[in-house]
Amino acid sequence: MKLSKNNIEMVAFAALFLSALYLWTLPMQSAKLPFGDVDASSHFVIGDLMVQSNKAVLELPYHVTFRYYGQNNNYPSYLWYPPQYWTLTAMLQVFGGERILPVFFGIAILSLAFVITSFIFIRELFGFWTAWLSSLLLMFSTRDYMTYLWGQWPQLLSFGLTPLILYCYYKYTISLKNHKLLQTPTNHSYIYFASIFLAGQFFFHPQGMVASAGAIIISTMLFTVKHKKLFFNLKHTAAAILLFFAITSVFAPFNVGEFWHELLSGDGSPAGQNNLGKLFKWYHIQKDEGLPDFYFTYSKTHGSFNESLFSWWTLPFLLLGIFFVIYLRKDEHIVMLSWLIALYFLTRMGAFGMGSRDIRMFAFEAHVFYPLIALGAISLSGLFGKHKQYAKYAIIALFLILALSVNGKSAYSTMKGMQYSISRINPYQYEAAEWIGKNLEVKDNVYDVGTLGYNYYGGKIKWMSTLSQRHFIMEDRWKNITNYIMFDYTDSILLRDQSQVNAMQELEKNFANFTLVYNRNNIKVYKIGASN
Amino acid sequence: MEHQIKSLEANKGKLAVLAAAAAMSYFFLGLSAARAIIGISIFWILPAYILMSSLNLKDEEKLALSFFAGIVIIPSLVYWLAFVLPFRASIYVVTGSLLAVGVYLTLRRKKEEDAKTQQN
Repeated sequence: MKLSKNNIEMVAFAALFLSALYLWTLPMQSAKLPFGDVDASSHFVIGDLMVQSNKAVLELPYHVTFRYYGQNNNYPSYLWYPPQYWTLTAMLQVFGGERILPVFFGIAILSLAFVITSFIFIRELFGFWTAWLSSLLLMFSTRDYMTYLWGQWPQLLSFGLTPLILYCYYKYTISLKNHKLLQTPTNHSYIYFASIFLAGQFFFHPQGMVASAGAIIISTMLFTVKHKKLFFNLKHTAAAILLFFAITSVFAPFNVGEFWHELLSGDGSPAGQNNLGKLFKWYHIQKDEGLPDFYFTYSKTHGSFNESLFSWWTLPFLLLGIFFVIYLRKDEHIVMLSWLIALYFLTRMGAFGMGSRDIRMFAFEAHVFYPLIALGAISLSGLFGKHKQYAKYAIIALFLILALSVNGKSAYSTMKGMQYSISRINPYQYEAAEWIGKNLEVKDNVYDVGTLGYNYYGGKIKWMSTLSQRHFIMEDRWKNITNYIMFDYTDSILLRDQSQVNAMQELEKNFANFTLVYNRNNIKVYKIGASN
Repeated sequence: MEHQIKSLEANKGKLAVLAAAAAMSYFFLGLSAARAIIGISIFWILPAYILMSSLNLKDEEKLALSFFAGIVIIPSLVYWLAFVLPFRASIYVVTGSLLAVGVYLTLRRKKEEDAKTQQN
């Protein structure tokens, strides 16, 4: 059987994607219970409820109102985000026939969207090897796999759609250009696909939509300057805009108003510091409780957590890649450059008084940097004259070795380390949560003593609430409605923290006169008040 | 029949990748992961892929676009239909309807092409 070049490339990409899937599902391969910090359980809870109740959920369930009531300004008791991502997770539960694993497996696939879309886009711009190497590096992207481990999954998927939107935009613009210059027919299906994917970004996380729109606007401006012609078709553009508004209004009618209200009134992005200094440095560290320090360290973010000298290996290639796109300025370079410029401005909007959360836009930094790194590396082979082809394969081999031994090794140990992390729900907690879900009333309120919680909104306690579909109290102001108290010794025992166990036992003595309704695997639940 | 065999021939690479993904998922994560892969292929990708068959796009491009269009459009339809029908039923109704429309469009296009060929 003779394989075409196209088929070989597809097999090579399939192998890469399956390796990425293996890596990203490592946390699930030993322990098949949920992971993820504060946001994770929020992205699980609604889909889970849809499957349990076998119907669509629009109004916030009782236990979720304590966290999200009012976040949807126009409809305070309705879902705070569009329902599409959560419907996907619900469908995954149905496909897999299990509650946890198929959802997390599907989330891994959806979170890896950027590896696929980047491959499609970069292959179109710069050919197979640049795309393949770039996607290889992307599967080890610290920013992205950490976002995945934290549980900000819709955001990952949303930013993952940007390369595909830029691909559609590029294909459409080139077809318009060829139509004007060579009278070839236009392929306007691409602009409608771009519209559908932009609507998808709106559904999953509007920040991704802003990133795509920014890159498209800058790209159009640069194309116009370069060709001294505006490649634009009013009829297609109007139809695409109409399609976008139709999809978002019809399928997310209770959220679309909220988005435009926030955007136009500025409610969602409080005024930032007018710090012009940000314009002159790449990483401008601001205090943001949601972001750790590594977020602003190149070697950790784009190299390895061990910060060896090799953690900087991508930087020279990145600078070279940027140099090539500025120097060559062909159409494909212009789109790439526009994406980089969009990243620059969107991560610095605060300098223009447009929001204080601009640093969150660094989320798509790797998506722009890694194709440039791969481009910089591959373009180097051009310097070797007639030995260009050998040089290219030598560079590819070197790239592969560095990517695997530095970035890959760091990603592997982080993913593997997540398998038995104390930050995850353990089997005893899961069992207790299921019991609570079956035996407590919908409006009962549980106070949890002992389950580890991180941040101000305990990630694991929120998972207990989600898995039981009952309210676990997480703020002092709700303490007075408590009617169940849970003593969870499992985390302290796993951490061998005897002093914590002793302190909890002392506290538990105060509830000796109440009814013990659950007592298994070092988790106890007492009923201390009547149901509401 | 000949058309179906040709179509299977053309798609065997994709089916092999799908089989590899399902086998790998089963091996590392178990049956529910393999079922998820098959579910994604049938309920998210296939309806959009068949609907796109009449568009002037490359095959692998169609496959990628159908996955991403599928994850935008299909949950939107399933969610709203699930206010009227049970959630599980709405998944089957949406997929079935889209597949039916897709097959109808494909057959109509084929018929038109055949008519054109005969005219020539």
